[in-house]
Amino acid sequence: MGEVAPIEVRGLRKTYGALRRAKRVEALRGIDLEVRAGEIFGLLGPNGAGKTTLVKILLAIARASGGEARLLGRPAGDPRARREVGYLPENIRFPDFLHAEGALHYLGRLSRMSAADRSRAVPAALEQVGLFDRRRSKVNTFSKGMIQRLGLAQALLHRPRLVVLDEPTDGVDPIGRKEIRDVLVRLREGGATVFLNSHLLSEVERVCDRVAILDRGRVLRIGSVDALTRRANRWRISVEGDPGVAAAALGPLAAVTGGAVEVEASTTAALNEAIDRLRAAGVLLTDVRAAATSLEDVFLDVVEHGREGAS
Amino acid sequence: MSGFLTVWRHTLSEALHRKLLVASFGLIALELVLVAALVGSASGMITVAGMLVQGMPGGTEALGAIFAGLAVTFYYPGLLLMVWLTAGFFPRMQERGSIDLLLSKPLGRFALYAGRFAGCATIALAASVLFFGGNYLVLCGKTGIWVPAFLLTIPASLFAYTAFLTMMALLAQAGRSSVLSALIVTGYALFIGPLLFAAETEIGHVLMGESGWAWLFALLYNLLPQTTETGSVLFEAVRHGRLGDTSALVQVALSSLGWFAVGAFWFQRKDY
Repeated sequence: MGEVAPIEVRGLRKTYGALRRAKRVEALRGIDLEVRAGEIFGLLGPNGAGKTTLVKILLAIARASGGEARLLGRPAGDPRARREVGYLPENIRFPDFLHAEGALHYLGRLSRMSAADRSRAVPAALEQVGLFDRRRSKVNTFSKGMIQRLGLAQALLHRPRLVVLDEPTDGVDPIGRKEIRDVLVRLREGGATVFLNSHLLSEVERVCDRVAILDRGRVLRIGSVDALTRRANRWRISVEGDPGVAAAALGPLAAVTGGAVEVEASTTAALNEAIDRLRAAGVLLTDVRAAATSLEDVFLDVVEHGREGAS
Repeated sequence: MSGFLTVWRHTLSEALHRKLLVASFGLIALELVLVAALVGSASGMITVAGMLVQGMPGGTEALGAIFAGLAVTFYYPGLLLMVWLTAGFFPRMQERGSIDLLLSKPLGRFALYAGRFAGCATIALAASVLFFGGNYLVLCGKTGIWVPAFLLTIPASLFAYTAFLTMMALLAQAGRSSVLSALIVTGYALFIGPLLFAAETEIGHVLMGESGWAWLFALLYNLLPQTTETGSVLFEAVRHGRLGDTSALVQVALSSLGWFAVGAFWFQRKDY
């Protein structure tokens, strides 16, 4: 029997204001999604795409209007499903009268951790996010970035199998972002699954194994970052000297982009034929790889095409 | 159960850290000093604000009535103090970023709601014991006349308070404003409750006559907790040392239970 998918969503729908037609908003329109164990999965989408609604339904903060959502093999509303889930909400708020250590102990108790487990895990979690020295400081003296780090600490406190993060690097400085990315990678190495909701495409591109692009309540594209950013049948060939000479040798199917030659070749034979032509023209090759585009370009392209298709 | 206890404990801890609560307890202490200064006894003569009380015709019965009057006099301010002290607890719990975090934990929503409710009731109990117990000690200690029935103000106020708390918890889900929910409950305690009570009396029936609104007053009177009547029940209980007609208490208990159930159901179903 295969491992249970940490997140499984089938035909998930959510309509807000269902009673009044004029105020009805379809936040999710039949979403299908599966997050595999041990991967970092990124959820992308413009504002109002339905990302936060999806996360809230998974964690029973909001109720679905239809379809099915399962968390670690259990229905999303089942409190037992949340025992092994860590969650960092967007704009997290801690009880402001507590100090960092007290806040983690309180949230650890809510996660059903024993006193002995908490006394071990709380200092370790604070250390992990770089807040150990501020453990006795009141939460209301913390900056936005420190609150985010503390939020991450509480999400990881009980060693969850699934970690759901909603904009984890929001308000965090570049060094802090790097540290958070490192934490995510370490989590994956430890076997945990990370579900990341972020609008920072560069962050997602750096750490995620797979991503889904959502817009207007629909999944427009889903796949590995490599597969999504790879440009079909396009190859990038780096050469010594002027790439313009190489492009001229290849004819109209080639173009110079960013100091290299990009060529269209639908088969391996066609690619080799292009290479042969370059070598015959005396061009020295330094690198050949599949042409890729940035995740941001893919995102913009997918969302724009999705909207054109819908209108 | 552990989730319920954690939330209950956290609510108490939160109360201890709120300056408003600490300041209110300080105010109660000041009030006690004031009462101690106003009530005096000398040479076996008991006076309240300089007026001679002991030795009046009717003796013990008159003293019972005085203590009953004092109990009711303290009852309403004490009750409203508890309402205002705890008005912010449910709205704070439901602030964005805070409620998301709580709901993502492996505890049921009912445990969260009930734990918060029990925490507020415990804070009110502490305030009630300090306020009414303190006044009892000062009054009885200064006069030398101990009327234990005066202490009925503690369970009576807690009982009426829980009725108001069910309303506040419900209102917090609609508006999330602590001031608004406390204002509405205060308005109910001071104006609407007495008005509904008055409309149900014989004089009220005569005044209303064939008014088309009579049915609405009757409906609200039966649906909302009849907290105004708890003052009368308390007065009679302190005066005679025993509970008289308890039908109002039963109505308040049933109405509060109903409002609590509505609030808990709403909280259970609500999207955040």
